[in-house]
Amino acid sequence: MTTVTVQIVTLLTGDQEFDSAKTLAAFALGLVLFTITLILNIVALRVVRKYREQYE
Amino acid sequence: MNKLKPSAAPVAPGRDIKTIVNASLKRRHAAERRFRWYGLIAIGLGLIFVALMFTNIIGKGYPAFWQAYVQVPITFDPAVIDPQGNRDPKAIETADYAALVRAGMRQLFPAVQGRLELRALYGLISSDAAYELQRQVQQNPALIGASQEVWLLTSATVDTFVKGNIDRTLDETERLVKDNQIEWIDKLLAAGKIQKQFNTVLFGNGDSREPEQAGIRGALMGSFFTLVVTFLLSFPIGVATAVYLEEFAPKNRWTDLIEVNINNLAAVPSIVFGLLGLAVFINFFGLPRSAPLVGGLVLSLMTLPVIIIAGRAALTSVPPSIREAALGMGASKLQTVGHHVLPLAMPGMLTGSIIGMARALGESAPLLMIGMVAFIVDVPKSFMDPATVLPVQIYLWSDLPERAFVERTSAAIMVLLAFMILMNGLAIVLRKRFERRW
Repeated sequence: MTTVTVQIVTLLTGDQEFDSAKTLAAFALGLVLFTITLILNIVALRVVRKYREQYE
Repeated sequence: MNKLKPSAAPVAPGRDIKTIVNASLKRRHAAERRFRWYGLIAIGLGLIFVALMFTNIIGKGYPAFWQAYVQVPITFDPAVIDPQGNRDPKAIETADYAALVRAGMRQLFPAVQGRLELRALYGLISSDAAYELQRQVQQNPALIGASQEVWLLTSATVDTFVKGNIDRTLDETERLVKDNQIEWIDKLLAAGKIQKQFNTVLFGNGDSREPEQAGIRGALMGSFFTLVVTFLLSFPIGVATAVYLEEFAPKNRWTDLIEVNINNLAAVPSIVFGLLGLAVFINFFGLPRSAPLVGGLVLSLMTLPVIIIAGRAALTSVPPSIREAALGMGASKLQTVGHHVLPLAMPGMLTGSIIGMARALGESAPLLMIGMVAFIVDVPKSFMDPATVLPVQIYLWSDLPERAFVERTSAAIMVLLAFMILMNGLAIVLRKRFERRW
């Protein structure tokens, strides 16, 4: 069993050129991670804002 | 709660609200007691796990603070060290001290003969012993020609054996320490010539492939430089940003977007910052890999959102009456913020940034990305020297197969935990002393 973070580390701790497919795949994984976190945070912010309105 | 609405419940004659409530009191109290027990059990479980973790790490790491040394009679033979007799520093530096170590070992056990036996005898001493003699002679050239007992570092297998971690009962081919070596070690132990002394090598040396010579000094200095860069970059920028966003920024869609972004960045996994550092700082700007400067830049990007959020919370906690009073006395906006609001919010900001620093100290994933995972032997002396940090050092050591590295990894973990507890404790002490309750 593996996680996204472990895979990024595995892909990048080796010596390959900077624009090889492995490096680009690692960056793509990072982008996916960032997007998921962003979506979760936006959802959380919406939920917080919605419940805040009821008491105003 | 339906029972409390008199119109909804079927009211029997003589049953008023008081009796209805009293009837349900027992169950409410029982429920409250149960809830309290759940809370105590949860806290107890958490504490048990913390205690387990500490006992495990301290139990494994405690032996690493003591190292086995053996007392060998060394004759600082001038013919080997200084053949010309002119105390030339170059000659002293390049002399064959290993031969002196071997002669000393032969003096301890004169009965040992034969190449294989002698090799086993010499294997008891660490390869660092020759350099130890060199250091002693360089510091004190009067030693040349003298004979004295010198405490030398034993090899890692002897150290592991003396600490009782090698099974004596195993078959000789499966053991790292051979029968003849065990016999010599037992004789030396009985004569008191092998002693466990405090392991200064752990704190004085950089990393090494030999476990008995490996130390965390390189990692400590690397961590120190990295944290200095992180603090110098993230604290001023974070505080200034928090002040601007809280006091001066207009409330429109752009500041909304910025707030969403800052909250998001505080929660993003740290490895994404490592990718950013790799792509921008190393590839685009061309900064050297493994340098504490790049590590500090990456970690400051990571700590910045935390400091901004903590700073904004600290600034919001200052009551508006302070601001209004200052403005009423004729102060400008900048004077209000700089002379009145900011000093009052500073304890909260400091607490938040110390906690942010403690988090940065323990981060290893983003630093792995920028190359701080290399095997660095020299202790870094500046911000551009290749370095590694303590969490990465622990990660590297935990991968190595030698038995002696297991206890050193745990000892390094203990040092790291001690720093974390110190920093978080400092944050709590600061908060308790300087916090003002309005």
